[in-house]
Amino acid sequence: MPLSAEDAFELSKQFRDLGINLGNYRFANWNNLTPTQRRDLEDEEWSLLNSSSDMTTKAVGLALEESEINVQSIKSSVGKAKRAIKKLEKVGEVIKVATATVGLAAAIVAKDPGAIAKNAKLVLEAADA
Amino acid sequence: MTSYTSLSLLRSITIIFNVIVLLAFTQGCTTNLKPIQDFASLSAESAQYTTLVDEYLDFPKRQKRYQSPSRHANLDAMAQDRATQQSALLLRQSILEAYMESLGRLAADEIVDNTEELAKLSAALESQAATNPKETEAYKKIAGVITTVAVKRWRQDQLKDLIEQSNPPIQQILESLQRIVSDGFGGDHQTEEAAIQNYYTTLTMESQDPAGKAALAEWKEFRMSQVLERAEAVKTYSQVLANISEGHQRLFDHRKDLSKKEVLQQVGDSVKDLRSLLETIKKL
Repeated sequence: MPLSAEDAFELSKQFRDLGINLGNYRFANWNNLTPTQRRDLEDEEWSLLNSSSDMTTKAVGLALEESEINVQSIKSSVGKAKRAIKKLEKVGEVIKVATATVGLAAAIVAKDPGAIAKNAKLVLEAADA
Repeated sequence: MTSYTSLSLLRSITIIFNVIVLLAFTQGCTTNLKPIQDFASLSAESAQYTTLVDEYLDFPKRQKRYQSPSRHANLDAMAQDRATQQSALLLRQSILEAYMESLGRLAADEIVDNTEELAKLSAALESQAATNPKETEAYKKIAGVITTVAVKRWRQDQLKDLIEQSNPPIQQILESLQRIVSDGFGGDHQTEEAAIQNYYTTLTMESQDPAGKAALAEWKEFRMSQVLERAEAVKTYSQVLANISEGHQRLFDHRKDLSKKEVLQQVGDSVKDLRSLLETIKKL
């Protein structure tokens, strides 16, 4: 089973915790350890802390990979929204989309109040579609 | 009263009646979506905060301060690996910014301008022999209301569609960013704290010089305070992302009635929290 970002973050935390615990042990037992033992323990601590950081780097990389498909999806939505905004900036084109506006304009010119209300509704329905 | 005057009065009444009818059935879609605009604008602004990415990339270099030269090659390799992630990390933030800007613009009123359309309609009406100037003006007003409402309704539909289609990927991206920020960037700070502890405590315990020990204690405190400040920024930014996620989910849940007063009120509350978090992070 491939490593997931979540697994990698968890491993990173465990390496770090081990390194910290080892350090706490070294300081708590400082006087009972020989200089060589202290140095060996310290070496292990740094190795564990670096392993933790390497695992963090790996986890971030995996999280980026895992979210790539969503980034592409949002890019497409943003493109669509931008086209809609462009259309809005040219409001006439929007009105053209609502073909019922033609009926509305005709009703207004004909000064037919009943037709105005009816066509106004159609315009809204067309805009809704 | 002449028949012309009666007819004119009747027309005026019907015009007023039509305006009332139109206003009645267009109510609700002419609401100002300012809180949504503000939410989008603050969310976009938050995505410009890239300091944490810089600190993540710089982490291996800072570690060199505490680790022996024999480990520097490993830290350089780590720095290289992280550098390759820079563009992808920044892309998440910039795509969030672009999305929020689009969301804000679709929620904005000012982009709807029907002046040109109304001018054409007025000209058409004036050319009709039976239309007097007052009637032309009245019809122009009705047409103004209708086109504005139609465009607003269309715009709000676009907004609803955008929110509907984007919510799942936006939530995933925000969740992924939140994990990177709290576990990745936050994890780095915990490691850095452990490194400072290791480095200064070892030197202090090995030292026999009281003045040297005092100086080391001061440096340790200084370095720790820097890390704690960065950790606070991580915590705050993580809250910003959580707030954006919650706010967008609210928009999604109420996408069919975004102009409702209660919905806008809730979005307005989110905006207050978001603004306050952004002010905090700017000070850090």
